[in-house]
Amino acid sequence: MKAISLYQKGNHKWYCFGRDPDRDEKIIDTNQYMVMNGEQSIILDPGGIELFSQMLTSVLRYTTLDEITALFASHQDPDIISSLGLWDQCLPKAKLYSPWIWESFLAHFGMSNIKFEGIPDEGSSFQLGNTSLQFIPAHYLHSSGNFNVYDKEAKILMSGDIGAALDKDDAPFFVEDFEAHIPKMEFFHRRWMPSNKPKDDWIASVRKLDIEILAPQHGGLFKGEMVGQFLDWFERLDVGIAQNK
Amino acid sequence: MSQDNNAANTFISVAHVASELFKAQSIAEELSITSKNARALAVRAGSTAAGFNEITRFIEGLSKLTIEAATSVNTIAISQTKIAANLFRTHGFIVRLNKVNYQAKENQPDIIDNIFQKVDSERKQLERKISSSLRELIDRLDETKMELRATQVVSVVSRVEASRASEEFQGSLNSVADKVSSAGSRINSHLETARKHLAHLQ
Repeated sequence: MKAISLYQKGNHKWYCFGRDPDRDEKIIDTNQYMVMNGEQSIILDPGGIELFSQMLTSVLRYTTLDEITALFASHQDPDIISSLGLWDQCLPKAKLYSPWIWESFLAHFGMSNIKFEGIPDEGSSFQLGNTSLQFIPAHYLHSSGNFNVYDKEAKILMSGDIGAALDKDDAPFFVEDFEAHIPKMEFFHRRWMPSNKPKDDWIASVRKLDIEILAPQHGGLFKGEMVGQFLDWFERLDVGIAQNK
Repeated sequence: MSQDNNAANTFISVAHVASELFKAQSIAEELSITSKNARALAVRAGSTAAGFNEITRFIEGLSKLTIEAATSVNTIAISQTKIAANLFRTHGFIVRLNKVNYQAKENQPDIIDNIFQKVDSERKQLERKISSSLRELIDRLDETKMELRATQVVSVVSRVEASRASEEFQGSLNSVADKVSSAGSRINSHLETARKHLAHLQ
């Protein structure tokens, strides 16, 4: 599994893990993120059960198990958090932050040790070491209980499935050509995002944030002016259309 | 439950081993740069540092050896973590299967028992794989540790060769020897830590 550093200032760091060359081709490629501050780390959308081994090996290159104090699951999908039962064995004192509505559903993945911390619908903030991360509501994009993570200091918005693209395994971590990227994300957004109303609400709320990197859970990350290009494109897009092309 | 814990301990320990070797690999990559710089220095120092030029080939060899070992240990470790995670899931499945309240009808095959036999045979196979892969991992670590003993010899010989070079280059050549010695100790320390992570699994 490849890893890149997205941000580093003092002991505040962001890493992105993905593009695993050993992944079974039937499994969709996912981006996993880890935020570190001092002696605390949180893994954002830790991934599916099939990627667990590679993820555990990768995160241990940068942190220790004792320092991973929390997991975050933007929603309940298997590619987001089906590894929960295995993390549960490694991180007995950690907490899982996820939309409150998913608690009893996520427990099906195995959660004997990890403590569930439900995020209220309106969002909340989370203290990681000396910094604070915000859980930004993104309900119905695409899941009915759904959050993004915003880091004001690093100016990174981890956007979950928003901005996701179905790309090649060896695609670069960052989008290089926005126009060429559109076909890779258009179908995904039209089909997976159920309604325009929550989409417009979300766009209005994130336009108020200072974002340098928009980091989705699949495909390339958007940096600099491409963040605005993505928001403009998403605003124009009609979603909730079940056409399989 | 204790089988579950064993499987979980295995995937955690082996992931730690892979991360230690990743750190060793980063040091070996630094060593490779040191070796290239040292070769350029030896060329500039001329005939008085000819012996040093030869030593840089050994330094490069040590760096290559560590990088190869790290790559191979990483491959074994990831495969082993996957097997251990599968074993953990298989144990969980067997525990749940044992709780299924099922009575086969007369003259009908016991379908649950058939599944149990199949999964239990997979469990045994996974346990055998874990055991042989663990042996392979330990051997590879021990082998690398043995080969890296040469680092300290290279460092000592580097100092001897540095003392023969002309005075203006001695400081820089001694600094190369220091870097080799320090890299060797740090790589060794990561190998030791990796080995400790496996000790309780043997």
